Amino acid sequence: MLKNLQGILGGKVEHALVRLWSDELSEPEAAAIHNRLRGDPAYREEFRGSVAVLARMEELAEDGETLKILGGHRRLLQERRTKRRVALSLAFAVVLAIGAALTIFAPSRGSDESNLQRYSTRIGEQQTIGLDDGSILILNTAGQLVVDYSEQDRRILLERGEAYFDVAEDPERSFTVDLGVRAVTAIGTAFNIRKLPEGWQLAVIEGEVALHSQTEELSPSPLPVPADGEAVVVSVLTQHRVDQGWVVEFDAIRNELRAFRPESMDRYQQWRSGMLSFYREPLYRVVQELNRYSDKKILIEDTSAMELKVYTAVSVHDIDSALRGLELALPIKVTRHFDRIVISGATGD
Amino acid sequence: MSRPIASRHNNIVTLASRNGPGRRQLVEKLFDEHARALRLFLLGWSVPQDQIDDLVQELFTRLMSVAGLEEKMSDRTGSNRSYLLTMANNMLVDRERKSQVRRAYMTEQRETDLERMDERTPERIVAAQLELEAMRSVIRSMRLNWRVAFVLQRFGNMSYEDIAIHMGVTVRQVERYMVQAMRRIREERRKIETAGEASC
Repeated sequence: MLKNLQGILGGKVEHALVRLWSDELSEPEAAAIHNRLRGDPAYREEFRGSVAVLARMEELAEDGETLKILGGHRRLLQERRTKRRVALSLAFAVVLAIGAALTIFAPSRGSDESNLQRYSTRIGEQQTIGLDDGSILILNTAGQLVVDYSEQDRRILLERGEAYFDVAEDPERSFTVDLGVRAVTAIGTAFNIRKLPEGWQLAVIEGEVALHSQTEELSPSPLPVPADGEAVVVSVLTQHRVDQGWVVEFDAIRNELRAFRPESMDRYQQWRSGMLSFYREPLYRVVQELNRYSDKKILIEDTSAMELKVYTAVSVHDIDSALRGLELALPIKVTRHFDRIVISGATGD
Repeated sequence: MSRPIASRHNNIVTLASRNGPGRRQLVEKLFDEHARALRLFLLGWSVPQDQIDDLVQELFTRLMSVAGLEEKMSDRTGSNRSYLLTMANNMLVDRERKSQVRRAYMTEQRETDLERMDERTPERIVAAQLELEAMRSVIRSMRLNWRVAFVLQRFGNMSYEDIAIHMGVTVRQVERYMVQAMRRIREERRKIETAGEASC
């Protein structure tokens, strides 16, 4: 408060204006503003000029940029309020139920004992994991994660692969996914994380998450707004709040975080339906994806075939059919060996 | 700081009563909570002391005709003070523009009606557009935190507390962002004024 008063007494008009807009304006602050306005004509002139320009700026309320910020933030705030109310009542019910269970079945159990559970999937397999708190995790092909729930917090270590997290709110326990040097903490949300050979990719499907280092206290800032379809490189050292519709990729080699807003989030979550669709994707990308679900390595032998554009939808549970479909649609030949599958250009035939 | 109802302007109470006890209670509450800030705000507009009470009354009178006032004031994401001060601000800009028109009318002694004088000349329109464009680019060039806080407070009518919750920062930090944003706007306004004076 003393700083506010100092700002009003010795600073420019913005200090007074910002306090005047506050619902917490104190008596001494009001008196200080009064005195400055009455006793300092130049100050009064500045004040008047500033508020007049603000009135004229009302027209900017309809600006696209303004609406974008307003729309997103207001909606999210409302959603969070609703979720918080729901979560608080749910949390109470859950605590009561668990409390009763502990009393009956395990009265001597330590209060801070954590419960470590490891889950893994084979190639081509998906596993849905329902956790005690109501959160749901879906682990994609060749994945591995550890669930570490305690009374204080909920931690997940994604060791490899890809997983979708639909997090149940619990105001008492944060939900954090450990990604090595960084961590993702859910703020009432659903998101997808994929570990890559040299980094990871985070896609926020619903709500928002905080991206931070392990030991930091949470105070994330929103990501900068990029031009449509463009990516922004953001600092790896600071905390970021990643909102719904954003994708953040970490490149460990460059030590770089790239954030962007894709036109659609489908490609980050379609795997859960067991179908993958590709629209104008180069063949090498499609093969890269299929390889994740195939127990035989798929290789492209001809560089000329790599860039062929693919429009298709395939089932991750039937890679063989997917390859047959590609063979019909593209000028390629698929040869199956006992240990690998090779794609070559069909022109040589 | 609750003031006896008799000390409030009677018109406010009368108008409020006409809209039912709920509206009356709301207006009383708004008056108690925000009249002081409004008076200070009017003082900042160089409104003479003896006219301040009249203007506060005018503002509350206008408020009575605002459709859906209860909904607006109970919107938990909104700041009532911010809403009232913005309303006062617009009212004063309007008032000032009209008084300039009247002054021009008196000086020129021309046979023209106030409405015609009130029309915006091409020069004024261009100047206003240039100012708006400059302000638009100032907002765009602000640091993201300043811009988000400013937009949410000024155009979203959100309280600092809600902005703080939303941005994941403290209320104090939101106020700092607002100070920085307002400083940029003041500096830009100064530039425009200086350029305008130089071109005269």
